[in-house]
Amino acid sequence: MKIKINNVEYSAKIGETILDVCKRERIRIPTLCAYKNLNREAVCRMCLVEVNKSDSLVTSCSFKVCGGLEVTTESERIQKARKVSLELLFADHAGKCVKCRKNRRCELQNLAEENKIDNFHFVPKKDEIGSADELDLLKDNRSRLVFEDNNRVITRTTEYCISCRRCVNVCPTQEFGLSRRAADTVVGTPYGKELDCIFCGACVRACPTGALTDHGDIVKAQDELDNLNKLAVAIVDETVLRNIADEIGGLPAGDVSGEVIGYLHELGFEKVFSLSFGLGKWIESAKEKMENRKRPIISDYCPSVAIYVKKYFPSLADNLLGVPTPDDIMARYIKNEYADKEKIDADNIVVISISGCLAKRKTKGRYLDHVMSPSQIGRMVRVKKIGKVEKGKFDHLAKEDMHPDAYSMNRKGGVANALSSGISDARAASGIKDIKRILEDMDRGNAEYDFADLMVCDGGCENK
Amino acid sequence: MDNIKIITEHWDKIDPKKIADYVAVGGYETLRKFVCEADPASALQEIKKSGLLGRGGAGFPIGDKLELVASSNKKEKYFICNLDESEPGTYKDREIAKNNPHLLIEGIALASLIIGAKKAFIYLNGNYEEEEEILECALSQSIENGFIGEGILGSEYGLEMEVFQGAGAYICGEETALLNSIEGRRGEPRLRPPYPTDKGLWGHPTAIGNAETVSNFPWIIKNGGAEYSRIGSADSPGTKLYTLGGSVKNTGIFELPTGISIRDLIQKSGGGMMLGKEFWFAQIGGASGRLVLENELEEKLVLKKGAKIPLGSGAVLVVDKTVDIHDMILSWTGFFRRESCGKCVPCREGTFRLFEIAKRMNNGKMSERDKAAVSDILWALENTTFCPFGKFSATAFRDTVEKLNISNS
Amino acid sequence: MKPVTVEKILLEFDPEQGNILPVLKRINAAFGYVSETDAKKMADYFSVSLSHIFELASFYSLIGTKKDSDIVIKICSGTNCTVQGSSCLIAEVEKYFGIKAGDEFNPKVRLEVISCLGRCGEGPIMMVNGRIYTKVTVSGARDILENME
Repeated sequence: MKIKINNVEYSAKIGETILDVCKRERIRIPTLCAYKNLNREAVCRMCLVEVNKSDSLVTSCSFKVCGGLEVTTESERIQKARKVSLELLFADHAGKCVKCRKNRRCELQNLAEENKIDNFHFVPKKDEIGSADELDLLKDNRSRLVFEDNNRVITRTTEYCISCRRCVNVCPTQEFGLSRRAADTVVGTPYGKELDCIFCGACVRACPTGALTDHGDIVKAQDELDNLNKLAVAIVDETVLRNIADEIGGLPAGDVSGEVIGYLHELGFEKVFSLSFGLGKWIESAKEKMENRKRPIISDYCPSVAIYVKKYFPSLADNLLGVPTPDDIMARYIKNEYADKEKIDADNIVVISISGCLAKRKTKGRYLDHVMSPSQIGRMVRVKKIGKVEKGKFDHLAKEDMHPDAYSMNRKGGVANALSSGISDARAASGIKDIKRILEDMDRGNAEYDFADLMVCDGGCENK
Repeated sequence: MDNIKIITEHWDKIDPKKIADYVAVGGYETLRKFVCEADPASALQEIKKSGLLGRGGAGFPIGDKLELVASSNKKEKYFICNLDESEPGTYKDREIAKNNPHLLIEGIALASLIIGAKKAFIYLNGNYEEEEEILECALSQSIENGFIGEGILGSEYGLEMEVFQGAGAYICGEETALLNSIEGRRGEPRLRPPYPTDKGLWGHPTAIGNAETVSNFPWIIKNGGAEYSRIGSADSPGTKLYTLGGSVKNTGIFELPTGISIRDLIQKSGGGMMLGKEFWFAQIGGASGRLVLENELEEKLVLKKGAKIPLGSGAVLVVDKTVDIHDMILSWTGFFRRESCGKCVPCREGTFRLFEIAKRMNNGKMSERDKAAVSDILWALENTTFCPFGKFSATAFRDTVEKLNISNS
Repeated sequence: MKPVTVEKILLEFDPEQGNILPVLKRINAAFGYVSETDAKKMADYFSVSLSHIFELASFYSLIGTKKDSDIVIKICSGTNCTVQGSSCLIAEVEKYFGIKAGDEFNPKVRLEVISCLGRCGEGPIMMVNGRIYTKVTVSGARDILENME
């Protein structure tokens, strides 16, 4: 059918929403609660538009197209609606951006700046607070504060939460829910328990603000890099080079490995190795392990899978491949063979792996000091105010070969492919729904295959 | 005609715990006739002809709603009687359940059979514990006597009816939030469309009617819709249970035709102002209702859409000049701040900030920032929220600002 | 009298979604609130996540998720009760105990301002540990609190 948007005709299919059409035709409509292909909640009210079928503003994320529909996406009314909603949300955020981990990377902040809002429209500035009972009113707001940072992977604070519900809907094991009602609503875990999930990090990736971020103290990390007595070593997963570049900002398109390595050197990393060495070793290790493993084998290349199996299908724990992550293998090599060769005391080496994977932080072994995300590297670069850098090159551990199947293991079915010589029949699955089905099959003894290549992130590893 | 009592006719005259009392005054006769004649289409026409508008607050023509479900060819349908009644100042539905539960049950049965529903719910306010007992007792007696259950009075008709109690949330009076509540979800409203008449309880066509609305069905089907349409005001006919409260001599529930003036209600039924109290303003329709001043007391109380002063639930609160307006403002803003479901940004945050500002107003500390903020919050609540709760929460505050002369220091 | 247990309550209901709220109310009525342990049993019985049960339990005013204070006082601040003087009552109770309405962290006493109970003709309404008092005056409130045990 044909519909009109801002007086221009466009084609639209039955069942589509106004937002679907606008996305396709690259007409900008701001959104905060819409995320990927999750069910539309229509709670943030950012996507309001005017239509000829209604006197009131309607949410474009939920309004289905129909014959004769005419849509206006910009008007005074719409702009006012956005502004007021943003200002209401910003009442909990005003003045806090500089200290927040998502500063300059926050969807709320971006929209606030784009719409030129008054950050303090609904909340008094500190110097305006006269008396104790006014402070009390601000405290009323704080009573919904929940802060959790004990699990080494995900830092959670409701202070920055805008209740967009993305995390609630994206979590594969329903760890989050809403609690209470009205302005007391907090998004969090039931009974305030500490997160004890599979740490896949989908929630962190989905969160538009600083409510859910990846754990880590970049100040401490920078101190370790600055320490002249320590050899700082970076392991870089090459699939996230572009992510690191984007977080640092201002880098050209195409191959940016040289520039990224340059920045890492400026941060204080003396050596920068590619994860490819670890991937190759992982494949070797896995092939050996497979010979004696109980069939069907469950690949735990994805560390989240290992956590999931041990928690929800403990009877299948013995089927897990049981090989440490490539990052762990490399870190161990660095602190043993490499340290020996270079005649460095292993205690004086700091190994930091840069990866998009969050679960690795939960399962990491003792040789790997930290796992950091591209966004954390980006923040460290900004804090250090690093300007232009000299391009660098990867260092090499003793005679490493880039195994041809190494990085393809991140794709669905890739691990089974890399280990194919030891497998007669494999199943591949991504996403918890399909993983659960396969494991339930296995549990009942119905599995006719001998290898299950499982990835928790939908569509395969996030580091694609 | 003016004195006709459709709903309260037998109050205080029959024992709600004795079904025989109700039957003795002609109760369940309409249901008996209905299952004998087995002509739901005609019965539906009578309800449409009556012009009966919903008496929960929204004022939607109930005949149209029933027709939408009746005409659906889906097999599974539901009827739900909305007795959540959480609008402050309103307790008429509670009195119906307490004084003549069988009238309600008969009305629900008729509505359910008209639309082809095999199961009906009475969604009861979670605080109404006494009424829950009375309704359960009445239901079991009704089943014993064959008025509800399989093979009603020996006919092919069957109807299951059950009481479902809410758990303390005003928003669950909203139709889609009510559905979510029954389905074991948070009582948050749903996106519309689809409407409950299309996809309601568990996704099936559902008609939801207020208890007072439903209590009119037996009379309408017995005496005909045309007869009903002659009562009261032409565009929102029938009688209405007015809940009169505040600084009048006689507070209480009064059944009177629609279309009477506010002044008449206050003077004739309420007996005028309490001794020594001077009329300041009245609020029509509960906490979400509009305010009227002395010079508006001639306005007629009607339910139709677009009425200048919508009657809403029928609650009329008379406020005298000794009442501190800040107490009222705190009552209004506090109520909506507490009862917002919390789903959408403008309502969740807007009602919260409005209440904060009301507290500052009460302390005489309203700032220039607050004044600008009020205007924006009210606008957002009236124009950008997920459901009509936003509009409700803004009405009284806006009327206070625009109609009453209060100084904001 | 046989003791009530969560298991016994659950067995009275089919594990259908429509029974989740009624079961929550029954558990709340029996034990005063729905604990994490009981919520877990419910989650298993109804095949939903613990998050889902907690979402429900914490949404509704009449269901608690933790043990309440020893004394719970609720005063209606609906429009009618306000006209009849409920704000003075609230101030009186706050003064009497030296507490603030809405404070949830005092294990001895909690004062909650509630929405309309539907007894608007008999206001102001005050509830003390579940017992409803009507047409409560400031001095009447003091009497009730002093005589309460």
